[in-house]
Amino acid sequence: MSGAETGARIVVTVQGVDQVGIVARVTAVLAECRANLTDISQSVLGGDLFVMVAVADLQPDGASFEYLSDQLAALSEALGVEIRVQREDIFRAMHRV
Amino acid sequence: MSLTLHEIFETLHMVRDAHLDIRTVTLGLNLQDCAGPDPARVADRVATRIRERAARLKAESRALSREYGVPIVNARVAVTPVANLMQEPSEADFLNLARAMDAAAREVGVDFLGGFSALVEKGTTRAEETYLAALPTVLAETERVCASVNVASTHAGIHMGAVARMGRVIVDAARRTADRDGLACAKLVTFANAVNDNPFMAGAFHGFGEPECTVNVGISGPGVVARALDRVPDGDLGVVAETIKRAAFQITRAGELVGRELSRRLGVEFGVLDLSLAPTNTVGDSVGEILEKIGLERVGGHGTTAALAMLNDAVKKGGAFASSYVGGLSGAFIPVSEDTVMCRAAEEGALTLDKLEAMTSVCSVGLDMVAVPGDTPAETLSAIIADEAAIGMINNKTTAVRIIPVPGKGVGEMARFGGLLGEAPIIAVHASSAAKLIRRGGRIPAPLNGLKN
Repeated sequence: MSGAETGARIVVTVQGVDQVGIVARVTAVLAECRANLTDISQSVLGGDLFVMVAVADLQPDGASFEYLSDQLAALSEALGVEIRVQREDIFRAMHRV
Repeated sequence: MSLTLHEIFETLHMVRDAHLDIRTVTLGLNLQDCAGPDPARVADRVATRIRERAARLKAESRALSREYGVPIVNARVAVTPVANLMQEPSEADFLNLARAMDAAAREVGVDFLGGFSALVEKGTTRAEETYLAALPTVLAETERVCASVNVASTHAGIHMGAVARMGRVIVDAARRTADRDGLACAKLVTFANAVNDNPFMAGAFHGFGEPECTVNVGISGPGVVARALDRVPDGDLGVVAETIKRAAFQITRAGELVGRELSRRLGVEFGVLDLSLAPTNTVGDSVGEILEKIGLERVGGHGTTAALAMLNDAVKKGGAFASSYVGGLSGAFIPVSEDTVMCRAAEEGALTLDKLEAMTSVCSVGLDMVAVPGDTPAETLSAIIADEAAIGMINNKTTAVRIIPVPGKGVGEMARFGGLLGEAPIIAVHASSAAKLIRRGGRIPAPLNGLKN
């Protein structure tokens, strides 16, 4: 099966109950997969809803999209928060003319 | 310019809570060069072609779904209309061909395969006569093969002989699947002005004039439109139309991106994007719900046609702006059994066959997944088809009939087809007969507006 070309720009979104170490653990996975962070933003809404968006470039010598996606799915399970990773162009296509 | 958080979460919301999805990626496949004198060899070649060309379709769709985070619900195959592929075929030859196609579809993991079709709007060839004779058996004895027959066009008029024949085919197909509420009829579409590049089943086929192989994408998202309308509860109808248009734009852009990427990975041409609001049985994914949100107490009541006309047009405008290659049917579908809100309205008697017919004059298809009493005469079914064909012919648009006379059941009972096809309350047809009209046969001449040259 062919996959996305390497070098894809990805968007990682995290939503869930705030707890210690979410940013650290998500960025650790990104680093391990050689995804270079270009933008990150996070806040805690209404006292305990943690929301984070990270934009990163998956490096040409980095992990496959599938591997990264599997790692984040495992982390999502472990932390009990929702983590999604998608290619960035879908957002751009839907919101920009 | 970088994306805003609002934009990112709006997309996530559309997928997670509003059922945004790509309803189907349909691989269009040319079979014309599979034709030949030996029917058995034709069947082999057709099956091989499907197996080879569609081998990676499922896997690639799954991968793309994951990367973009937008579900691709169905991957399907549409082929060249098969009626004239074999020389002097027998009914058994058509059944063999259909079985070979069914097996190939199963092998590549495709749930429906379209194109077991014939275009007979002006008359039938000898092979097409045999095809029509074989059709009820084919539909009853295969699982995934979908058939469509074009019986009318603005250019040719209405072939009433074929219309009469289709009434009998539908009755026979229903009888052969009486134990499954006439399920075979759910895989059969009778068209006027059929299009060559429609990706949606059961009416998809790969028309003459299409390239060797192409990907057509059908996108949906009634839920996205309904949720967008929640944000303008009191806007006037100009605001409502604009809101629908914007939602349609966003949905289309998502579909175009994924469709183009899929074509690239499969190494085939990108065909068209068909933005059709296609409901599913999931709550919140209904065209009827949109119409009621616009301001109807019940879909099917007075005002329904106006609301649907606006919806259909706004969807087209948003779609046309978002993609250079919009095609197929593009509009709103109203399949009763697949739409929970329409289904309820039919059950309550608010939505009748006559109103559905009126609705089809302003939306993209026709009477779709409508269940009627099992004892409906073939001539009445033919007359229903003729009415729909007339609407299509005069208005230069596609219309279709997918109607199921449910054996042994009457008005008020439920027909249950299962899975994607859902269930539908059986609605009444008029008791007065059109047998004489149908028996006259011949061809209703092409209308003046077909003479454009």
